[in-house]
Amino acid sequence: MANLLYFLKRNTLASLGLLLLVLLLLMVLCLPWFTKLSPVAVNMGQQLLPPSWAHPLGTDYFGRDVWVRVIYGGRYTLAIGAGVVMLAFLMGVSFGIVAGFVGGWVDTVIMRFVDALLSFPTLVLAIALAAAFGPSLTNAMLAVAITLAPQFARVARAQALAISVKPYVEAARCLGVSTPRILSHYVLRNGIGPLLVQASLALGSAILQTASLGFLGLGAQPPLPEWGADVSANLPYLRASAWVALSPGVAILLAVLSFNLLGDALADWFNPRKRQAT
Amino acid sequence: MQAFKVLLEKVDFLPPHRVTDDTSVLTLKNWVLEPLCRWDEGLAKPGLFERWTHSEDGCHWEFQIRKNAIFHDGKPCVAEDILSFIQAILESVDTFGMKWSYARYLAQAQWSSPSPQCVVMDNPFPLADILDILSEFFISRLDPQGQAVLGTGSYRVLEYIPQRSVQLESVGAGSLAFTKLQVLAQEDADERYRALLDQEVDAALNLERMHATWTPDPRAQWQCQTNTLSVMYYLNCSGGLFASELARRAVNLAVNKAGLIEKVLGGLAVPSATVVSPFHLGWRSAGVQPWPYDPDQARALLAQCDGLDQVCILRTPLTMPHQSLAISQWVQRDLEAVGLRVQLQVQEDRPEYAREIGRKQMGDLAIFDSSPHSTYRILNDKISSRTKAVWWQGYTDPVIEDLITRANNAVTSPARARAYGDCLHHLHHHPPWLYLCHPIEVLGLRLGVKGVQLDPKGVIQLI
Repeated sequence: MANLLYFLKRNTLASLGLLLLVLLLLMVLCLPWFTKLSPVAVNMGQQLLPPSWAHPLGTDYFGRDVWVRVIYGGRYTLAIGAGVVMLAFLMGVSFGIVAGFVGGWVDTVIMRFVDALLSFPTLVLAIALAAAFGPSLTNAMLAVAITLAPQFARVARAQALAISVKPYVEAARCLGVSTPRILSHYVLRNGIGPLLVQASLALGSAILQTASLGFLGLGAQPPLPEWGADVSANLPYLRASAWVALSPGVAILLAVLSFNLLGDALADWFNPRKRQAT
Repeated sequence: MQAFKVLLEKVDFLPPHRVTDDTSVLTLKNWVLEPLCRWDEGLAKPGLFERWTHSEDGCHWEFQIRKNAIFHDGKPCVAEDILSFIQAILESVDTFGMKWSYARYLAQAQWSSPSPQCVVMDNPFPLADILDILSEFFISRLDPQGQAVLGTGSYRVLEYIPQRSVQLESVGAGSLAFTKLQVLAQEDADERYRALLDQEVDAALNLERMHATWTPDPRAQWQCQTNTLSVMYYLNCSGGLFASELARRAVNLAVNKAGLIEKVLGGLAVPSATVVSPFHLGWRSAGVQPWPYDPDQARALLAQCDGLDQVCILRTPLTMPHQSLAISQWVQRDLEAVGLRVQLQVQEDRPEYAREIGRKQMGDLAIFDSSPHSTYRILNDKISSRTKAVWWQGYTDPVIEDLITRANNAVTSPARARAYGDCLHHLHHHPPWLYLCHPIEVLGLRLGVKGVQLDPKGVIQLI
């Protein structure tokens, strides 16, 4: 812990990322307790009001408080990001670790499929999948998770390949430890570092991609407050009432920035040379 | 399974924020989209709004969106969709480029939504007529091609070629008679009739619009349905001969409507008694019958009027209503028979004709049709001198204003029916218009076809 604090102290960008993330989390988790305004209640008599004390970020076309929608939208957006990464992690790591550990034709089949998925631009693939599944938040999350899973599979395979020839794995085999237990307790546990770095970097991508699908109408559906969908819904009023589209847009920017800064910092943390240099 | 093939005059869904009385478009909209409330002979039934409640004074209304209302692209229908539609329609213009009357009706209404499934309207005065208004609003979304064909109705669009054809498929496990529909456009009514008799299609609508006289050929089955549309003449009440109520009553006696219907319209109309059809709210309570044909009494009434020596300008387009020119020639002849000097003025540009009437350039009388199925709307748009709306032609009568106000303030359905009945009764005896007729629309069906019904709005209902 002392090492981590020292590391953060010396790494300004990591501290900034952590601070941003903590602030965002505090805001989206705690602030809804202090407001009675609903993010979905419409009042057409208060359309597109400019920022004021009553509405710090103004109101949108439906008279809803933009600040409240950004806060509630953060809950959904961050939860979506985390959910998508968990799903991608589970899918990608499961296949990647098996491919790397078992090798042979299993490795070939899994990795060629992963290569095929990686050959598509991720957003294009996500759009195609979301369009095929139908427009809904669950389907959008699934689509983004599928596009992110190959990256986890690649890293997991590399880790499994390296770890599976280590003496302690050989020893476990000789002792008769079952393959699933070796995979979970030896390979995954010892190769988790780069996967966590990948996960933290993927969080930003997941938020961006889900927001992009929401922007295209393939993700979260109105009136659910979600940053990407809100940017899209408020785009027609960008000139006259810039705050309605910019607010959720800035929120996306800050969230993705915080995750990327943390991801970079984690990469340094898990790299012994860089950690020592810091 | 083979698709049920229907021939309509046109195949069009129109832009999403355009309200129409065109029976072809309304038929398609009824199949693919849903109105917020369904109009059923003057009363509102659930549509996309499955139920509603209101305050005792009729100022506060809460509408619940039907559960599981989902657009055909999979997006759930929520209050935002409805409120943005209402907002857009309040800001848009009609087919003639004029601002919709809805902006006036709802000028003081405040719309809100406490939850995605609930729409709330607050108005400073009672507005039970909101139900009539909402029954004209069909909610849609644009498809990727920008066409307003994504609805929540019983059929979804599979393929749509504007102005030509549309393929429809029923949504979900159907209780509907037909799972697939193929709708084709054929502008010429005679051609629609021929195609039906030759069994090229299963149904053809608006056969009353044939150039040749329609005959009920036994090779097909026929449904004839009186329409809510009123064909009438606006009488210029602000000046000239028809500023006099005696003259207005006289012309209602002077025209032989039964003869007109038989000779000009091939029997496909019923004479009208007041400003609305027998299907409108209040008509039954009004207890009125069409004015009789009595040229002698008409002459006697006209004899009491000033300005008989002046030429009456009778304005007419060529279409809308159907056979406008022939009707106008008949009316000219009947009016001349009771001693009036009538000059016929023809305007071939129909949209321009509507705009001219809107600008009160109507001569002394001008043929027109009145299509809204809402009694409230007709009184508000065309009769009330308090609102002086775009179609008002100078008719001023303090008695009717009080009656209209009373009807507008009525909240329950029976009270509204009674109050609007009083308005219609008064307007029958103190006519602002020359009442003519309500057209009968004809739907032709292939022999053996069941589960199809033509309603009074001219819309094909599939049961």
